[in-house]
Amino acid sequence: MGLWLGAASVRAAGLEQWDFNGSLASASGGTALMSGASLPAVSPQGTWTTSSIGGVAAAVASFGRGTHFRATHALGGNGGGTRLNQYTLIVDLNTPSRPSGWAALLQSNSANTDDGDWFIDPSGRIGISGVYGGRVPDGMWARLALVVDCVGGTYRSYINGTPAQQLGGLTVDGRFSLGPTFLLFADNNQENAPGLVNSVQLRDQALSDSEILALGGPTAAGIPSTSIPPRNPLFGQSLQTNGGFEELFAGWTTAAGRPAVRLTGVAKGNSHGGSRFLHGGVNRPGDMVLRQVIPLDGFSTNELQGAVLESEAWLRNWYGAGVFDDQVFYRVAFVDAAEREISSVRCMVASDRVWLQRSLTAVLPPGTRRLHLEVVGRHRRDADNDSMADDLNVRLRVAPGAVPPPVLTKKPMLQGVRTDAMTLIWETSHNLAEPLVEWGVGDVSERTWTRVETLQIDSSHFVHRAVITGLDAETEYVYRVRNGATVSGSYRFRTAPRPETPFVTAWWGDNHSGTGILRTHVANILRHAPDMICVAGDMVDSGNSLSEWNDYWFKPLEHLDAAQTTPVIFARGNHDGEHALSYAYSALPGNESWYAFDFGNSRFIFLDSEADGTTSPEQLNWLRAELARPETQRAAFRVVCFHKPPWSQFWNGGGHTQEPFVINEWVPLFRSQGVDLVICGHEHAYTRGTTNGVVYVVSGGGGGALDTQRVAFWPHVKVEYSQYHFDIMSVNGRRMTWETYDSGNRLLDEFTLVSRQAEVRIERQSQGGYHLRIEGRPGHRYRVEEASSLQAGVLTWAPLGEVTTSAVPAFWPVTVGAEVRVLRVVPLP
Amino acid sequence: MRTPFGNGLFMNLLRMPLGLLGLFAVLVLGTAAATAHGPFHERIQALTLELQSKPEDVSLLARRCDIERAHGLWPEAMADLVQLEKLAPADPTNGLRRGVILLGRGQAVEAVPHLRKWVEKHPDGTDERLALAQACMGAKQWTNAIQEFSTVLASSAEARAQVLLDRAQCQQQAGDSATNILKGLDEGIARIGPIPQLVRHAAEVELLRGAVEAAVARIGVLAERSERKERWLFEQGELFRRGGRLEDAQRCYSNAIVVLESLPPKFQRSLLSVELRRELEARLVSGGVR
Repeated sequence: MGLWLGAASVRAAGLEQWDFNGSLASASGGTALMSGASLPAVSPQGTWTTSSIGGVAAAVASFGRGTHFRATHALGGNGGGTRLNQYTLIVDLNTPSRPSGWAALLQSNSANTDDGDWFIDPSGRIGISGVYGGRVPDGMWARLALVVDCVGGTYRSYINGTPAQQLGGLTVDGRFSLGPTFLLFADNNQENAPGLVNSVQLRDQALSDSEILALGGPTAAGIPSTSIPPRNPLFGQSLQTNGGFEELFAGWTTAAGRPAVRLTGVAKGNSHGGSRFLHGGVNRPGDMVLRQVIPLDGFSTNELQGAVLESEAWLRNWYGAGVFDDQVFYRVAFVDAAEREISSVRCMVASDRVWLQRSLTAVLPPGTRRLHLEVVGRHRRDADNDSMADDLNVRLRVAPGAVPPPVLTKKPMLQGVRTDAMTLIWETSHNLAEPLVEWGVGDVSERTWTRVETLQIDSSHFVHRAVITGLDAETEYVYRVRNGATVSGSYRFRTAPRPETPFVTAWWGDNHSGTGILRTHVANILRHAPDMICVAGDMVDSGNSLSEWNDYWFKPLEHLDAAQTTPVIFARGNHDGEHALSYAYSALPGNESWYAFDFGNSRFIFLDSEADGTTSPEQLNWLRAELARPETQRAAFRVVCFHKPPWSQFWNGGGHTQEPFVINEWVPLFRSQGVDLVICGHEHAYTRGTTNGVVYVVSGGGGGALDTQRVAFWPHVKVEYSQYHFDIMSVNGRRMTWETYDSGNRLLDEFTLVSRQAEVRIERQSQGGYHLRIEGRPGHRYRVEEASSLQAGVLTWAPLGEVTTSAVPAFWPVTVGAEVRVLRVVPLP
Repeated sequence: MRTPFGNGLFMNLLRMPLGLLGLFAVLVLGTAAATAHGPFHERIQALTLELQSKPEDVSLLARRCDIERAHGLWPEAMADLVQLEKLAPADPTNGLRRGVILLGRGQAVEAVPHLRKWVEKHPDGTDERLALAQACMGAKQWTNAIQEFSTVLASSAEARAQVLLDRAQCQQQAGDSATNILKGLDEGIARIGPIPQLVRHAAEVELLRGAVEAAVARIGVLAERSERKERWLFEQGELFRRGGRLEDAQRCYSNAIVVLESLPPKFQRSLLSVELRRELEARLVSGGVR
């Protein structure tokens, strides 16, 4: 056995080093290594030798398989634990062979009684726990680095300065933390290898990518021990206070609602950690927003340049996954010195009754001087706002240096229906590049929109949402999205039409996995130049499948840049449903579950048929109020869309003929409040019929397997097809045309609706005198009223009589004299 | 309001362009779980798992067979059916299943006897009779097909246009008179309303028997009801042209252009409108002669 002896060198702060220059002595003034053996060796084996590294001869140690080195450091503990939780281990190593296939590099257990903690695997990759990457060249010198951050929960390996592998889920004082003694090249079950080692360094910091890169590759002189410029100690430290609500609301302010801090195990389940957690409020309906302002005064502007936010929180609701419930998420807003929000990052809603961890990663946009940490609870059912949160943690990490540009994984999809704004959503593979929109009237270089909210799905799916405001109605704009060096193509969109402008909307429902059919529909639909595309739900089979949202929804709508040039909105179906992903991939109006908007001269109302009146009386109350609005009543047309139709004619497997709550709760409102058209999906067929003055269309032929089994003959249904189809709705003033086409663009059905709103003019009669000329919907009754008094700004109307219009206008004689008369014609239910 | 409900068997009619027969038959019995909805692969998997411990459970096998059938998994459905027939040889429903599976596989000729046997014993089953009609159509047994379609239409409120169109197609193949074919289509129009597919087909039949005016008049009904008259004017022009009435065709094309130009700019800008205009102008330039 050879002995390793060598001279010590001056110890740099926070660093231990061994350079194997003919000795096992520390090169940093610390404790020498001790050699040892584990099977298959019974005693340490090795020699001092020289080896060429980068063309220069280096004094190195050659050690046999099973030989290990016991290292003792004096770096103490950090990261809030008793052990070394944030450190970097760097090894200049050459492994000519790996007899077992493996080469153990680090064993944190100084007794070597369990598996090693850092390996080269049989494929030459580096890592641990099944997560391996990179390639350590066989028989060649390499500088291997391991950066462990148990506070941030990350374990990262590097080969010659290049990131090779990353693992998460580390805990403070857990497996990968180091005690005062650890082993190099040891493993408890012979997954070790012989090798040559030139230099080993341990630092009590988790170095950044750029710092590792700066250390470079292996050299004969060993690992540089120059101090990394002292880093602001706030990096890597928790910046929030009272993230676990153990101190009730200390550090937090309530921006909306009346949340409460609850004790574990009392009424609303257990906390995630500690004894308390945040709850949206028992018997306190309404949304909740809780905010904590985190000043970044301890960081210089330079330090914040390109710094990365890392954050976690634990969230839950009351009902299980996929069930209609309140929604909770948290967000971090980046705020400038003038208290303006620059942009933000948020997580998916946590739609389950178990605690779910949600993480956030984002690069700070330029100008950030404070963070707003917010917990948002959207109240959607029953008396309680069951939005719950616990253990929020916010940290900053040093700017990572050069980062490969993100991949644009989903092209921007338009989801705006306003005359003065447009909503875009797009997705990238990481969030370490600032997202923004470049846009203009003539050129994308005219303006930049930086206020983007990024929603993190996981570590490789980031959905960016921008709402560009201040636009003009019916105006075409050109745009593209950018994330650092990654830029999308340029596309054009047009804002929503004015009330007097004709418009076209396209419809389908239930495309499911029928991507071929959907692409065909998209191509056919675009020939009709729609201003908006509306989908009656069931865009996927499984709303909690990432791949389905990509393959069944986003990708087909990228065909011919359909969704990049035409806004797409939808009602939620039972398949897309109440999954977190369903809400991650949408930026719909209102609460994104039920909402309404004006488009042209019509009012569009979208409902969530996953939430009946018992589950969510809020939706029913909202619908009553919405339909009763004078503006809704004055619209030329009231169009309602939701997924599950009141009546079904076809249903493979039998049994499903109606949706009782829709019939009992919604249909009477449609009748009494003059809804013109109801469009549904769910049934994979086309049916059309009119009852009580309301036209009901089922448009479920978007691509899902067709329903062909007849289960009913509802008498009001007049037209039926068991065929794939889409629909085109054109509105020109008081007339709406509905056309249904099959996948060959052949017309299957067509009907026209005339607006209930009468067109009224005063005309002089040929024989003298005047009349009101009333053009209304044929067969509809109207009441002529006169304003009888005006009190406190409110007119009182007195009925004069009724008329029924037909295909020809009706007339109501009026006398015109000196005094002013105010008349109106009101459609009756 | 309660309504009469369909029976267990149903028919999936994939409407193909005129001249092609695309048949697809699906059978469902009772409350079987066969469905176009939900994760059917998982259901099949779950049943397969159960069948591993109960391989001779007829009800499990039947459910799996029906789900496979409903989703066009013909080899799997037939394999299950063969097993069902071994385990329950006296079950007459298997005959119905076999008929429908054969029809779905495009073996209409083989399907007919199985379906006919069932329908003869259960004459009230509309869906089964529709399957038989489709099988007869696929087997080119035109007269039988016509009879079965007519029985379905007479005994139920069936309102799918494709049923009426399939009957008309069979009538044409059987050499039935245009009068009879039109009578059938007009019955359908009276039942459902003048929906485009039926009216267009009727117009074709009129044209084929030389009744150009009648053909054009039928399209006129659609034009009268439609906001977008330009396409119907074009179709009328085409009917006139094919009927040798070139001047009348030209008039229709010109009128169509006038209508197109009166549309709001928004509607004029669509690709369909642009293409239609191009087509109309080409017709006018060529004098309507192709």
